[in-house]
Amino acid sequence: MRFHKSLKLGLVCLALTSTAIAGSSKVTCLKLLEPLSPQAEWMVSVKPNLHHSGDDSLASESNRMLWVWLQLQNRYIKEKVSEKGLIAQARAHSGRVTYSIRGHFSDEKEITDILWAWLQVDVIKELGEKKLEQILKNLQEEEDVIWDSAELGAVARLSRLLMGPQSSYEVAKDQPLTEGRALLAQHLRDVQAQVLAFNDLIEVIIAPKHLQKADCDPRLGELVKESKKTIEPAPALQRQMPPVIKLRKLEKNAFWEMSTSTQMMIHLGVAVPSSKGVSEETLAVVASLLSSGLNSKLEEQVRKEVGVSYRIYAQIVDGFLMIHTSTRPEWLSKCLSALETGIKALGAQPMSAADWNNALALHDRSKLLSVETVEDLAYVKIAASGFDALKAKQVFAEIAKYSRPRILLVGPKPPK
Amino acid sequence: MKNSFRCFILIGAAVGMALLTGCRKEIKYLGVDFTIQHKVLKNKLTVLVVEVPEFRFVSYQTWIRAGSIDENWDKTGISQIALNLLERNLNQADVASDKEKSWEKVFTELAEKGVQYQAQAGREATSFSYRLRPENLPDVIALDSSRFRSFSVSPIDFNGMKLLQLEDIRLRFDGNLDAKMQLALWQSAYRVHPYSRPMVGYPQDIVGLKIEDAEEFIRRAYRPDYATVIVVGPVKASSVMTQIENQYGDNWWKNLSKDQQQERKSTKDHRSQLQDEPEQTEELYLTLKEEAGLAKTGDRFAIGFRIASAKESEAFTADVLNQIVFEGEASRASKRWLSDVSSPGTQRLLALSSESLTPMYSGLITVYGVLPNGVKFSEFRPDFDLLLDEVQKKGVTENEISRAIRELTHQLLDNLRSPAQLARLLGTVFVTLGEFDSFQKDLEKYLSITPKEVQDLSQKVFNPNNRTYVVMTPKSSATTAKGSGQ
Repeated sequence: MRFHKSLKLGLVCLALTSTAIAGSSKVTCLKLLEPLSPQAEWMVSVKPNLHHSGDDSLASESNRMLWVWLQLQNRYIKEKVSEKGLIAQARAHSGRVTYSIRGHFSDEKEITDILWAWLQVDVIKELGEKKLEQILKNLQEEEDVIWDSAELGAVARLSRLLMGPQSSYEVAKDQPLTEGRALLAQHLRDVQAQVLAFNDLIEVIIAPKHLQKADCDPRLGELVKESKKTIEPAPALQRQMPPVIKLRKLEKNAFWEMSTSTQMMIHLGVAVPSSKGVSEETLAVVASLLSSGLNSKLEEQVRKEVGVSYRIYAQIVDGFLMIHTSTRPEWLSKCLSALETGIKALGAQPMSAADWNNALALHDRSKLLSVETVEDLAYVKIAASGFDALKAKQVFAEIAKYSRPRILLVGPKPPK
Repeated sequence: MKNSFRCFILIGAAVGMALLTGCRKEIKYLGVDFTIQHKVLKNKLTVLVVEVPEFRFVSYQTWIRAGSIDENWDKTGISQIALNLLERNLNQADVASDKEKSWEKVFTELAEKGVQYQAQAGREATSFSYRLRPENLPDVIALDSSRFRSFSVSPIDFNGMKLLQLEDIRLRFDGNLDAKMQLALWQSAYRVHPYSRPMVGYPQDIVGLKIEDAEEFIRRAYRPDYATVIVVGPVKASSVMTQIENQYGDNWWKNLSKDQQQERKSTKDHRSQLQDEPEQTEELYLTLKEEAGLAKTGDRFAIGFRIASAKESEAFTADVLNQIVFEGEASRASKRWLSDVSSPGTQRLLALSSESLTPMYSGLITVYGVLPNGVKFSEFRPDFDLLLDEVQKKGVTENEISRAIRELTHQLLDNLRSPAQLARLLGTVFVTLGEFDSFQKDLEKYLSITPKEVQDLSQKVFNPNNRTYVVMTPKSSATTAKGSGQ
């Protein structure tokens, strides 16, 4: 089946072509036109064929490994394109992995050749054992910069609290490539196999507006078919991390002293198991709802019990929902109690259909308003398929169970 | 006016060529194709409109040539407070039928229509920016112009603004190592010029500010001849120009008394009296002992090299020099210190960033870095000096210049991806240079930079007496390992 139609979306003229491939896989091609810029961008987004084991922590573990694998990809491609003055990146979003290269349209052939080769590369093999070891060691050191930053450091610490010890990929420094690192590399190969065994593929070309041609690259069909043939089943991995993996010592609830601060920052994480089929896009919508309209309910509860409420916002990190706010040290226990009450109340009093629809409309609008550039629009369109309203409602119920809450406090002195 | 200011200037060249030859000019340059319409109103307010039918949103921005460098030395922070006061200074009758409607309510109603708003004050400029659908343009023009008609504030509101400003300072610097380093670098590199002051002000100055200080600053700095309104998006320029003229034309501070109007006319341009920073004659070195943070990393450093202002052609060469040596993924520093394969004897960095800042007065190339746990800056410094020494003695290649210009061009063209980016670019150029007619020569200079010019500049800029070092080091290992989260 092949169809072709043109749509006028207001922001740009969009030509859309969709081609179904044998079986359940499909290739979708989008062409978006830059109104002013003469530059172009080529993007390919794939949906990894992630396997779910039912264990909550493994889904997060998988995300974490995906992040590390993307770092390998980005280091690999950087060496290929930086001397040419091109900008390339691979990123994970909305349950997909998207590769992109930006440059001048006149270099189309050279850029797309690099992109197609990149999509198929076995990056772990290509980098080699020595370089892989060096990158993993460097990644751990670079994380230390984040660990020292007040905001990002708090999120990293809370993430560790929520994930538990199994999730850490940290590797002992100055160790040779032992069995431990070999296992780590095997985890990365597992992720790579899942990404390369994608089910569907979206190609986006962002081009200067005078270029109206909008055909799928004929190589894409072959690429999808090929991916099915060559990918071996992911090896069954032993999920227990070996003893050489160092773990940061974190209590169930942790405190990070920041003597220069006068406020107590509260970082609260609640388990929302993404392994139960809730897509990242759905979780992102929930976080957005909490951060926009619905957080007023939490703020209202805090105001009711504490008297004063500071800003509350929510985000999804590593598949967990995190809620951040601050208070004065002497109001800490009241504030925590109010947050717990408020969160439970969210699920205990489900929203009416009208409230729910309003909240979703608000989310859609804010998402649309966040589209600044054609590239933003491309990511929104790529992610659009991932949202499930029913699951989003279930997530609220999950949050209300207040399952595995973890709290990280950052402030001037340890709370009593 | 941050890292890619040169790029702003480059497109500014095209813009300038348009403005020189009339009030409507088609821009065709580097594959860019658009038209700018330009008008100066009777009160000397400049209006720039770019029609781009393909954009879905309109960007509406008011830029004022007023920033922290316009503050008196003992009244720092007043530019931020003035901005916060003006945000709330809506003359209700002009924007709402209900005169009692609060400014929060007015903004909420606009937000419900999809209008996004933000305002910011920097060292040299203040801007009020809106992103909106075309049908909301009349409402936004009425809203924005209303705050420049008359100004009044109650003592309670003014004190509230001061407290808000003090809280903002706390939030900006609490636990933010980068912000502390940046402040220390600018304070060290500039001794005379007000670039040395923090944009948010000093707490001790803010506590002593009075309402009259805000009124004086607003009268002096928020003038129509220092302002430009920029509109980019799917609009009709003629209609927009008329609406703007009707709302801002005769109304800007229309309620000033005769004495105040006379005072404003007789006040000299504050910036014409500012002295540029004298040439640096010695190496400056500052060590910060940090209690919080640095639990997992080694020393952090910020290094500044004084360079020319945006008005001098040397600034173009400085951009290329920075791009080759520090900026970008293929820069020499990036290859040497961020590479994944360590060369024996070479110290690796955990993070590295740089900017070439060429504002109205002499600027800075700034380089920030983070060393691995336990490594002191003194151990890294020989590597750093060696890199600079190589550039000074052996120069750079044609290929490096070509790559640097290609990267800078990419940055330039990326400023055309949204109406807000293009409007911001036009605002920055207008505020910094105030005129456009020298750009064509600048552009020629930029594209014809030679390896010898880069090497010559490196000898001047990388001279040890032109360097400012700020190094942040742990106060003691015992005080930095607190907390169960470490």
